[in-house]
Amino acid sequence: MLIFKKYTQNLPFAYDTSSLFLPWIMMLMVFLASLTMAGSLAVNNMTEHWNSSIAGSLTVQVMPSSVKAAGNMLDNTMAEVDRAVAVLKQAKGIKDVRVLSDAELGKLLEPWLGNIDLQDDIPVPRLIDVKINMAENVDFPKLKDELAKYAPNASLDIHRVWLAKLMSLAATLNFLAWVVMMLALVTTAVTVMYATFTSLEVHRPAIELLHLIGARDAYISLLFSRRTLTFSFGGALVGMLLAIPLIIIIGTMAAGLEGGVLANASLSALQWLLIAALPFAAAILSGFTAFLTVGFKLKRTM
Amino acid sequence: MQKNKASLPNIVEFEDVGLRYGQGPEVLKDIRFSLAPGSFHFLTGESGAGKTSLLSLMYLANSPTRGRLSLFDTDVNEENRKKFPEIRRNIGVVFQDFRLLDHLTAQENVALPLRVMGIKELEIKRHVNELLSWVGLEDHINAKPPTLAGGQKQRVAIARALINRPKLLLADEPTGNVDDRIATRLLRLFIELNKIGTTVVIATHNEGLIERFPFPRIHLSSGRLKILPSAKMSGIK
Repeated sequence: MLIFKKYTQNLPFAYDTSSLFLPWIMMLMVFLASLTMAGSLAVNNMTEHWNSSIAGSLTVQVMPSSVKAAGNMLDNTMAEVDRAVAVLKQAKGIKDVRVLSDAELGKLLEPWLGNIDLQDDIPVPRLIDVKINMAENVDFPKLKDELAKYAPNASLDIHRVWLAKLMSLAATLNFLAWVVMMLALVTTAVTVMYATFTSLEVHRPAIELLHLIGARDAYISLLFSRRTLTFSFGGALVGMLLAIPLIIIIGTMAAGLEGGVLANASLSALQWLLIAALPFAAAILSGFTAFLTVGFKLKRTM
Repeated sequence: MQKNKASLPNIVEFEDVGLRYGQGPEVLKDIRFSLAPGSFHFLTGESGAGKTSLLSLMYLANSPTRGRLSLFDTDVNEENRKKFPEIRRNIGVVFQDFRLLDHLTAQENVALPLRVMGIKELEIKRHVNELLSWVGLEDHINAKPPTLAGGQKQRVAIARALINRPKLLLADEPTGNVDDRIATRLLRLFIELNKIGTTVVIATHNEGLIERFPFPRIHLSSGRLKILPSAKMSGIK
């Protein structure tokens, strides 16, 4: 920063109050951008997790048997579950088939039914968790037909519909995050541009003198761009530092949510680095904008 | 005026140049003259005759509204704007109002032309201090312009104009705020520069100086130009 000071001191920036608001704007923009980027990255992490954990599995649900045949309802349902398991095990591309235990079902139903005993002949659907071998193609229509034939109360849930909806929601959130980031970027650039216009007016006599003693436009542009860069970086750094605790708090709260839906929202080290790079990117953007703005304005002078 | 003996291109050439500010009347009319390398001229004329405007054309603060102006054999027009910094680095200007930057010290003000050329700071410091001593400001190296007297400011402005050994020196009333002793000393400095090849134009009202030094005069009257011999030779008072 000392070397920047040496170069920028050729213009009386210390007496120029026209762009004192710039660090504040940068602070706000980088604060927003940090939160938005963290949100977007977290949503990406979650969708990736959902996708990878669900893509290789499907669920077969066997509804309680309504046939008033010999034996009780539970026995009939369990017999149908066994037939469905047999069909699934014979199907091509199925890696593993596992019937969810009473305890597991009880836990899934607990939020709605409280503690219940599934042996009490309560008509509760039975679930079969199926793992698919991703290397092989499963013939789902054929599997459905086979299940309908041997276990008519069984239905196949390949998760694709709700996963597609979830992914679509995630994509929309991501798109909105990028819109916010772009708005922050454009706002920053426009703010720097107008601050530079004002500053150019304030320093017009000194700029004219620098020109008359042989300074190139690029030299003057660099004075402004270095000043804007250092000025912006301070504000941007504070904005990022203010956002970090907030991101951590929101992340911790999301991880603690029941059901673990948002459990995989936490950010990786690389993603934290991306957020840490925001003040640098914002400062470079500001400096570059100031450089271009001054160059553009000076072209129209002698 | 004349091509020099070795047929070197003229430093400055005006061909039927006119200048007006905005929609106002022409302040300079049909200006036609040239300055050979190594020449020395006084620029004279009453207040408002257009001396500062003529100088401003030569240091590229304004461009002619008509006619052709050439500096260092380069036609000065809008297309050549990119070449202006190079041209300006060969011109030293002493402005009538000094145009010193108040936030910089005398040393930093004088260093500016070298700084914009990218010269190393160590080298700059050595040259600047030497020149400031020469103009009698060795005790004011770190003083800022608001704390300097008019004559001292003028000497800082002169030092700034001379620091990069310009090929053309333009001075607008450079002795206006100093006593006769300092004025003579400054003029001798300009003459020394002229001896080593710098072309010098000094706008002045100082009749004493004009009489004492035998240099031809460019005289402006109501925006029109006349070349006169030196006052000494013509006996002008």
